[in-house]
Amino acid sequence: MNILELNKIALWKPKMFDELTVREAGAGRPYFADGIMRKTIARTYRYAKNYEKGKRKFCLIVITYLNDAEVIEGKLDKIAKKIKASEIDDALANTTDSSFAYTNYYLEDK
Amino acid sequence: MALATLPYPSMDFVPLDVLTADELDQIVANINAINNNSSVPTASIADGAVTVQKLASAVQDAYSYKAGDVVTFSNQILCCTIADSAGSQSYFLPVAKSLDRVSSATIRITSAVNSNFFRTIEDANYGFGRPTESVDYAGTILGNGIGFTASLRAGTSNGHLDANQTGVAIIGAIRVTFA
Repeated sequence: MNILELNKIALWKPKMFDELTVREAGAGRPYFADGIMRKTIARTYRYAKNYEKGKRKFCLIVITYLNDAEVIEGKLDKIAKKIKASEIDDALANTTDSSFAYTNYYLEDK
Repeated sequence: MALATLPYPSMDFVPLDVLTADELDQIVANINAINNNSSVPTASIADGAVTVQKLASAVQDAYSYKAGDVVTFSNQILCCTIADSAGSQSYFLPVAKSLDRVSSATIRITSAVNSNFFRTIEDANYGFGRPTESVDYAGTILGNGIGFTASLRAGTSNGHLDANQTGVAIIGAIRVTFA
């Protein structure tokens, strides 16, 4: 079972629809930051989109306070290009149907 | 034809998604929309929505004419305006089976009991009740999946239809041998 970390890019098996989907959740969600558990103080938004790299199909996920689908999609697209095939393979090996694997990428990365 | 549409399309989930009661209701609404007893009848899969061409090859074979098949189509009505005996009219005969697996066929229009052949409808010179003439066509045609088109030439053993005459052929039988 994953622990929520905001703005950290996660990798998972491909989701049902390839396009970017967004889901909103209310405040008060527990998340992990700076070594301690906190609770979100505002709504969070989950962005997820499928990508394909060579023969690998995968999904990038990020949960954040930011409410701007276009901007987030652009950032996910950039990260998808940077991410290596070996990183995808390692991450997918550690995912299950109900848990993803965090990458070392963050939304704020340039 | 009606296509199945979901009231809440593009619903997907990833780990850590929070599932709300509202979203559960939306999922139920989607399931109901594809139920045959749904209150949204246009969401059902309509008759004819799946064409033969979409079926697996082995299933398509059962719905295609094969080489050597002989089929007779009765009581076909052909209406055409022929400029002269060299003119031809494309005649499209829809068939029940797919012709995807048949590359060509031989079509012969034969006379049959109770058939009438080309006769003029509006022609002051000939009037009605012209003697029956034979209409014969033999050749190869190409299937297009749901029917075939044949070019038929109006002609009579005594000559040809004059320009701008309208001929109506009520053909007793079209016998098709698939090659």
